[in-house]
Order: sequence, then structure tokens, then C-alpha cells
Amino acid sequence: MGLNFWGLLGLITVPIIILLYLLKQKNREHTISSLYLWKQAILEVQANSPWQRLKRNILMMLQILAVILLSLALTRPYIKAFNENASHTIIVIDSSLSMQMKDNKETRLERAKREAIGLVDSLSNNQEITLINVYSEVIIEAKAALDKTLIKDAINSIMETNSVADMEAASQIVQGILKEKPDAVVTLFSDSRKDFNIGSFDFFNYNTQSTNYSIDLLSYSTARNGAVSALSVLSNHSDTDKTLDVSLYVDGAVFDAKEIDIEANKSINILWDNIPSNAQSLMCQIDSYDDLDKDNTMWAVVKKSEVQRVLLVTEHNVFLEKLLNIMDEVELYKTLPQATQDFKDFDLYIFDGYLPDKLPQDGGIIIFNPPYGGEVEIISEAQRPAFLYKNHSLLRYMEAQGFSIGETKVLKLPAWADNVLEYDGKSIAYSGVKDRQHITVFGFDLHDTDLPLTTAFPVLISNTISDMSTKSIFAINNIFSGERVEFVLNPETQKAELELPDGSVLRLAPPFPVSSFEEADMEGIYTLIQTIGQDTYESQFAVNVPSVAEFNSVKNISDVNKGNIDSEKNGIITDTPSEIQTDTQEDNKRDNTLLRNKGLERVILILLVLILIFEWWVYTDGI
Amino acid sequence: MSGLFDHEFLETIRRLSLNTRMSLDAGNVGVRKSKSKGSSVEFSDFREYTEGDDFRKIDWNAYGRFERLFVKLFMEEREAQVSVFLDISKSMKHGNPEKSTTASRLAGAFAYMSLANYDRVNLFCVNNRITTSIKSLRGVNSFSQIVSTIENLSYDGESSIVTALKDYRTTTNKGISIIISDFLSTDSVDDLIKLLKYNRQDIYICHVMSPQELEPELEGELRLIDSETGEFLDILTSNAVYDVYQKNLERFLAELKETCLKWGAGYSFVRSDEDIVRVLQRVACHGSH
Repeated sequence: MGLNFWGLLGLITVPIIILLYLLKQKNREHTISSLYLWKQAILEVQANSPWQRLKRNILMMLQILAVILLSLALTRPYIKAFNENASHTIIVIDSSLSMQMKDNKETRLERAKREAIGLVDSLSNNQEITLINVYSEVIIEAKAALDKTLIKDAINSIMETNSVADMEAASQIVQGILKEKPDAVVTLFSDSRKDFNIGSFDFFNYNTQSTNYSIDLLSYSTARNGAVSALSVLSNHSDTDKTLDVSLYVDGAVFDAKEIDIEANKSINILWDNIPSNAQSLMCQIDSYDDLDKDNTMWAVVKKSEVQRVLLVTEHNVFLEKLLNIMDEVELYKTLPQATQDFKDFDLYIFDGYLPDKLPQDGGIIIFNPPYGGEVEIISEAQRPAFLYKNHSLLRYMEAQGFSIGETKVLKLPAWADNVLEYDGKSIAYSGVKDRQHITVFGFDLHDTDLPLTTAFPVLISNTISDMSTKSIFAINNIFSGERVEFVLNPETQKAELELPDGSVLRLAPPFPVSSFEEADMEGIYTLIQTIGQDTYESQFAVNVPSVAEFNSVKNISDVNKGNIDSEKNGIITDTPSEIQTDTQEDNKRDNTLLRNKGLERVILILLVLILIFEWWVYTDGI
Repeated sequence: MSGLFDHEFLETIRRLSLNTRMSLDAGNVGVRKSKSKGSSVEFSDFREYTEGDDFRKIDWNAYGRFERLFVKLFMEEREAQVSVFLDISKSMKHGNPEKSTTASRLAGAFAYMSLANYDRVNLFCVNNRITTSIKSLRGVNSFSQIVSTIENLSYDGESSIVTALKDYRTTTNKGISIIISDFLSTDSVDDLIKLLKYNRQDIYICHVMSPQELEPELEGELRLIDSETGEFLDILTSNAVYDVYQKNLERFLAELKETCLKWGAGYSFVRSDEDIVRVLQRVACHGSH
């Protein structure tokens, strides 16, 4: 049962009523000839109706009772009641990072599991129960099960994760179940109902006031002289100002520590200078205690730029040429299509409007405006296509930036590739791994677009080159727990292994192609070890908990659009603390609105009306 | 004449005679029938016929001459002693019209009729004691004294006629005692009648009550204050209270009437807003039985 305790302020009127009764003026005086007959009458009335003696007190007590009920109604009491008549109950439990927050020595998830088991116990034996576990994935732990023991075991087996809850996907699944079982009752156990788009559902809200500080970002930059400096973003998600001790570890050893004063609900940047140029990994950590310690630490891997040999095969493309020339990690070679037929010994090949008869076997391949008759199958051509960005890593950081295409070829999407730009259900750009070789195809000529004139151009090219590089795993630099990791292996790699933060080693390949790694739930430094012949190549990446994304999810930012939300998942902070606070209030309001439907006000108000009627009856002629 | 006793009122009561069932065997000669069979049974006088007179006594010869009905008084008759006890407690000052007005007029009317019938009249004004008394008045000429006394009465004090009459002893013979009161006191009417019976009195009770006592119109939370004692009672009016009051009132009236019947006393209930002439006619009829 829940209450809005402000409503209890109405109880202040109770002593006022008593005071008014005490101070009440005497009864209106009326002189009559004699009390002789009245005395007898009153005595008789009191003898017949004992309440008469208390009648005045009854009125007072009724009024006090009415005020108490009114105050109670103002508290908007509600009970977490369930529709016991429903034949089907869908229990959705959020096991995301924020559910690890401790409230009263118990994590939110532990409490949610306990209360979910209580719900299961309260249901009748003939009610079907579907249990859904939501984190970055949506897992149906049990479907339309009648065995309560089974359900309770499944609830108990739900483990906490470090990921963001994908409520949108969960609500889609629930909606699917509701189509089959329209009378099913949905109950969500979470600290946020954002994106859980179900018409009506019971909501066990665990979003209570908590103390949490987090490292939201750890990035670094390397100067031309090799000096490394780092930037970390510290956030105070509590409602009180705080002084926090923050430390930076370089390669596992303490490098620097700072005492940071941070205001409530604010974020602050911390700069770390003079980091050794040979540093390989960084870890920034808050040394103060809070309700959620997972987001108190963030790792980053210091990448050493390795020069890639890139061959640009084009008649004339000044945009690509200029851009590639200014990229430090690119050693650019340019050739005309007719100049050579033997392509090898490059890390990356870029074919612009041309394809050789036989594609090179080493290095990645980027193709712009593929010709007809080549390896790229062309379906048709399109003028000024209205295309869509797909959720692809090549497009990261450029969601908010658009560009226009005047003319493009529409491509047939191969089975091995993922769509990058979609037009009319087909593809105008795709990327994927074919026979260990990473190939990306753009169906358009850059000259037929305004892309080179926008800021999206260098971002797209940089993303593409980084992702296709076989010498680095820059593409998986910013990984959050629970996200899927796609590895780009060297085509000549014979064995690939992954060393986890706890020291255990996981074999990735063979078999080839390597499947995506979906178990990056543990935060820390991961090491990819590729074996080519007798040599081994190691590259590292960091996996961090999605503190900002998850916390903002809990805070329920209602006015961010889809693009912003995606940005959050990629680590870009777009909101301000003040927005967070405002939206939290808005969220609470909405929660209350939802819960009011299950509230007790109606019952209390009916009771209040009955009491007022009874009081009127007592006052007029009653007892 | 004053407002209480205007000419019209006096003219009306003049024609009414007060009869008593009581047989008189002592006292002076008056206009009451006596069972004594003395030698002086002879024609005495004429008197205009009034309602209640024995029509056999009508002098038809006189009717032939004057075309008015007269009865002949020819038997020996003795004067009666009529004592009027008027309750002048404060409670009588209540009601609309006030009970005191009705009671005063009744007392005056009884006195006048008695004087007109050659009876001897005593007037006692009583609350919890006899405050004023006029004794042994005779003849209608004495009526002015009655009027003067009644008009100057002050209605005050608590009502307790029994206490007041505790030491009352009639110095004369048998007579008629008329008690005019609202009887709203803890006094036992039984005791009162017994006391008067002990004094060989034929008793007639005029019970006066106001419309406000019979149908009280009170509303809300009230502090009812007793006009005589100052005692108060807080009540919250309701239909239930009214119902019980009405039942209680009916019981009170019934008991009073029953007590009178038991002791052979006459009883007449008078509303203070009732026409006084009708009351007197009713009393006269009662007396003729």
C-alpha cells in the first residue's frame, strides 16, 4: 500500500474541529413556562435511545471521521492489487543495472523478485503466468505456465545485469502476448516505465530516492608529441552536494587522485594530465560509497595509432582524397582504375566507380558507386531516394546529421551483409564480412550527394575505415555491458581468443566467421588475441557499465527524441541535470496517475458521503 | 372596566350561573338548592333563565307579560362559599396568549357568577404560598374589589399549591373550591384534592395550558430555561424528542383527568387561546349535572 503523505496535512483540521466544539457558543436559550414535561420527555428519550446522550459527541466524531477520511483520500492511497480473475498474468521484471541499486540493504532487483514471488503466491492455481526478464535483451523465462514452483524458481534465477533495460522491446513482446490473451494482466517490476508502452498495467515502482555517483565518461587524447591526457565526467545523481575522492589508475596502478566538490544533480569534468605516453589502459574510480558501485568505475584503453596502407582506386574523387590525406592513421596510395589489375599488400582498398575483375584477398574493401556486372549485384537506380539510417555502427555519431542523395544504385543485400542505408525496403549501402574479408558498399557516387559538404562525411569515412581496419579494434572502443561486440579479424587470422577482465580466456575462432560476442556483461579490459602463423597480435577494448544511459532511463527523460536516446546508448550526454530533475518529477506524476487507477480514493469518498448522510440524519431527526 | 373584564364579557357571564352538585346544609340563605325541608319554602324572587336552569321552574306568566324567560325562586336556598384559587406562579405568564390572561378572566368570571348568585366568594392568589386573599365577598357590588385585585396581580414565584394550602383551613362550612392552574409542578394533584376534600370542599379544576406547551415549535440545539426555577436543560430537538414529549403530555393530561374523576372533582381543560365564553358554558353545563 502506498500513500502521498502530504494529504495527511488535512488532519490538522481535526484539533481545529475539537477546538471549535470546545469554544462553541452555548445553546440558544429559550425560556419556557416549566421544564416539568421536558425533563420527563428527555429522560425517556435517553432511556430509549442511549445514543441521545452522545448525540452531540456523535456529530463531532462523525465530523472528525469525515475529515480523516477526506485526508486519507487526499493521500491518494493505493494498493498493489491484482486482478485475481484474470486468466493470464504477465510478470515483467527489470534486471538492468539500476535495479542493482540498494534501498534498505536490499537491491531493487532482490525486492522486485521477492514481491513478484508474493504476486505469484497470491494468484490462483488455474492462472497462467508468463515471466519476462528485461535487460538489454528480453528473455521469456516462462510462458503461460501453471506451475507456481517453476515460476518462482525462474524468478529466483534472474540475475542482475549491467545493461540497460530494453523496455521498448519488452513492451512489443508483451503486446504480442496481449493479442493472444487480451484479458491478461501485465505487472511490471522496475524502477522506470519509460518506453513500456502498454495500455494499462500494474507498476511496482522501485525508483526511490537514492544516493548515486557515477563516472559517466573516460576518454583520452594523444598529442602529437605522444603525451596523453584524459577527461572523465563525474556525476552526482543525488539531491545533496558532495565532496568525492576520485582516482585515476594507469595500467592498474594509482596515477593520481583528486578531491572533487560536486553539486547535487550536476556533472563535472575532471582533466588528468601528464599521463605517461606508454600507458595502455586507464581506470577512473570514485572512492566514495554510494548505493550503486558498479558505475563508480570506468575503463578506457589507450590506442596506439597504427598507420594503415590504404589504396584509393578512382578516376577522380577530390573529396575522398583530401579527407584520407589528412587522416594521421592513413597512409594513402592512389591509382587509376586502368593502372593496375593486381591488388594486394594493402590494409584497405577503396574502389570508387570501379571494380576489378577479381577482388583483392587481403584487407578490407570499400566500394563507392559499383559498376554494373561486377561482384556487387545492382537491382535498379533511384532518383533522390528517401532513405533511412539503419542502426549500424558505421553511422554512429551521425544520427542527428542527414545528407541528401541525388542519384544512387539500389543494391541487392547479400546474405553476409547488414543494411546500412535502406531505401524502399532495399539497400543503398551495406557492410559485412565475406570469407573473413570485410566489405562495405555504397551505391552512390559521392559527387551525386551533398555528403562531402556536411560534417557527417568525415565521421562516416572515419567510422568506415576504423571498422574495416584489421589492425585495430577501434570499432569496439566504447562498449557498454550487455552490448553485442562484433569483431573484425584479420582475414589471415588462424585463431582468435578473448581474455576477459577476470583473466579467463574464451575461444572465439575457429570456426570462422567469428560470431558476435554477446557476453560482455563483465566490466573491465578485454583483450583480443589473434594468432597468425607463429605471431600473436593483441588488441584491447574496455567494457563499461552504461551509467548515463541507464540512469537517464530511470530518470525517465520524456522529451528526448529517439535520436537522443540512441545517442545516450553510445555514450553521448545530451541532457542537462536540470532536465533530468524536471523529468523525474514528471515521471513521478505519471506514475501516480497510473497508480491512482488502482487507488482507494473512490472507496474512501463513498464512505465519506455515507458518513455525511448519516451525520445529516443524526442532525435532523435520527437517533 | 379594564381590558380583562370588559362590559361585553361581564354581560356574558352575568347570564351564566355556576351550579354545584354539592348539597349545602349550612350557611346563610342563598340561591343554591338545599335538601333541608324547612318551613320557609316559598317564593322568593325571579331570575332570568339561563342555560342549565330547570325549565320546569320557568314562570310562563312572566313570559306572557315580558316575553322573556324567568324562573321563580321559591324554594329555600342557601348561599354557597366559593373559593377561587388562582395560580399566579411565573409559569402562568407564558404562552401566547398568556395563560395568566385566561386564568385571570376565568377567576373573575367565576367570582362574578358566584356573587351574582348570592354566593360568598373567596379569592386566593397562590404560587408556593397564598400571596393575596380576599375573603367572604358578597353581592355583585363586591366584584370591583375582585377586579382590582386580579388586575394588580404579579405573576411570579414557583408554583406549589399543595405547599401553599398546607395550612389552609376553611373557617366556614362546605363550599366550592375552584383551582385555576397549569399544574406544571411536581406537586401531587392527588394530595391537593385530598387536602381540599378534607376541608369539605367540592372541587373544580380548571387546567390552563398554552398552545406552545401543547404543540411546541422548537428547533435546533436549545437551552430550555425553566421560568420559575431558572433551571435549564440542553436539548437537541428531533422528531423523536417531540414524539416522546407529546406522549408524555398526553399521559400528564390523562392522569390529571383521572385523578379528578377518582375523587369526584370537576375537571375542565382550557387552552389559553380558547374562547372564554365557551369555557364558561362548558363549566356551567358540568355544574348542572
